[in-house]
Amino acid sequence: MSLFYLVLQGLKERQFRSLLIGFFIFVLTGFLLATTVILRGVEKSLRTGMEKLGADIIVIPYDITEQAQQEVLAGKLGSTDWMPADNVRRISEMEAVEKVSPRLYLGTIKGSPYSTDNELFVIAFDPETDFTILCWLKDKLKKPLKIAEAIGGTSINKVSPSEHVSVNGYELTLVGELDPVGIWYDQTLFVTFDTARDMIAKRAIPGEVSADTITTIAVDLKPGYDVARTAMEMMLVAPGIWPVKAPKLMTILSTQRAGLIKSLFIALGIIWILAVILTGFVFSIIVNERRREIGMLRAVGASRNFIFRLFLTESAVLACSGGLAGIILSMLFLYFMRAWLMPALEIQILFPSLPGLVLFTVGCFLTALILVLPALLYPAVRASRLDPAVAMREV
Amino acid sequence: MIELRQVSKMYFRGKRGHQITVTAVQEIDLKIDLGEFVVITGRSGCGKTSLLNIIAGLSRPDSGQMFVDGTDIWTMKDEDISALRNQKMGFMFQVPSLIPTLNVLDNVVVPTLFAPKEKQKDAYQHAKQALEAVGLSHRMDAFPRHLSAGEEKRVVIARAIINNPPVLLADEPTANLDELTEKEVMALVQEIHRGGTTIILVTHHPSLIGYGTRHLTMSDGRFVEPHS
Repeated sequence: MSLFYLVLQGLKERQFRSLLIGFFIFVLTGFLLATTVILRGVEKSLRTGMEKLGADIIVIPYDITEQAQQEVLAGKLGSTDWMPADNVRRISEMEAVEKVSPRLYLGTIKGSPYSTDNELFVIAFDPETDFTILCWLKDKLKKPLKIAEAIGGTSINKVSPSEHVSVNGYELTLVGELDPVGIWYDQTLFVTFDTARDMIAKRAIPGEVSADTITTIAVDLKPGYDVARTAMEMMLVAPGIWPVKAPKLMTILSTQRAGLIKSLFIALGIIWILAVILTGFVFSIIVNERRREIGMLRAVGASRNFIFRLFLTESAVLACSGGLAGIILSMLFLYFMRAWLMPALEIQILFPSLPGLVLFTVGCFLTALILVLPALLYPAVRASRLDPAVAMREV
Repeated sequence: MIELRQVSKMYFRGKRGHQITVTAVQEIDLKIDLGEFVVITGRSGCGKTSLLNIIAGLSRPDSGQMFVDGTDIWTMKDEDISALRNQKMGFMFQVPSLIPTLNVLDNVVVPTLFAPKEKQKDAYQHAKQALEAVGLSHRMDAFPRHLSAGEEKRVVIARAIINNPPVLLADEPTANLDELTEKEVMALVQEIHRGGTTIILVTHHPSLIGYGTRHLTMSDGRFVEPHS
């Protein structure tokens, strides 16, 4: 006979109550882990996305629709308007400009078997001037990109064992893969302008796309130049453009992120408060219903310290088992989310690496235990302070 | 062995602001020697159980002193009082007092959990012997909810004697029992007394007076008759 044996027998014989408390802790831990992983994923995704955009200014056509502008700002491609490639030269000649790199949106392939996501984008870029895409290559290219060669985002070609990707019958060879970014880059094929011309010539790109036009220009300024002022001057140098300042883009993304994080933390706070109150309430009921047992144990020799340890151990066993169950279920949920929900909802969230996930899991588990500790300690202290004679008499 | 000097105990009843003070035990002096069988009788509410709780060290008196083997127990730490209860006293409560989540054998073993390590060694063996002594060796695996009132009392007796304490405190040990079971339970108590254990028994039942070697009567928290 030991304290632990008493605890286990108590839990076994009071199954409903044990399950109820375990469930509260299970919900708390599960929610904590899932929201933390998702929150961090969203944050990392947005941060990496912003870094990836890399440029101080993104130049887009002035007259594209408002919706298309919003899509570009949100990091999604949707623009079907183009601007003359000559804009690249005009902007590059500005004194404040350090780097300029054009991109051409060629199209979206829906339901492509070569992407784990629903949509696959095809973008032409200039490897000579690029400063936002090649820097994210997993391994450096051994040779310069040739015609019919492409670089793919991390979601590309995951369903096919071959290194060839077919875009409307045009065979592209994947020669490089980007690190996970968490935005549309992951589901994009990047090709050179020469390949774009070849694809257009072979009618692999529907519509009237011209490889002599461009959709966006990434611009990096020399240090010390004012972004807002340069953007204004840019509109004079190259009429018909709309320079989007990176700080504005970052502000939009940051605002979105702050709102999301705030909502999740509010929900987390509510869940925590409810779990603590309910756990404390249920444990208080248990102490009340077991007053006679406490009195009897005290009578046969249990000290206050033993009663305290008895109730604390019981709480700890429930908290640990509930916590572990919560972690297992939230892991399953996160797996389901990554495998099914994110592609279905077209959401991009970066998940942590395995060591990171283990660290998160341990952290969430310990946090949940600390959070429910007051709810577990209070009834244990109350039980230990119960007057044994009164306890035996009142029940 | 056990000595009470001018011991008083009060309780407060009612809600805060409208409380009334009830004096359960009033300036009681009592000395009980080893091997005695003291029966304390009195009407319900006269303070018998309060007195027994004070003797057991379960309830701290508001005034007076309580000595066990010459030591004022309320000068001791909680751990030491608990150890004293565990080693020197066995209990039979008026109310059902078995742990509902443990079977009969485990219930009997519980007091050994707080005993010195050497006594814990053969705890289950001793528990089986104690159950055999009260005639319940065939019910070791049963849970309290499956026991009759008489069986439960006998389990409580087995639990009370497992640590072989020199004193057995019994609060209405035959409450809710039929006449035959009452006699069986009292026969067991007598048997324990014959083994040298001091018995302090409180009851409102006059038929139990004859079992004792000394009889005390309480009324309004005091002894009202000379000690016999």
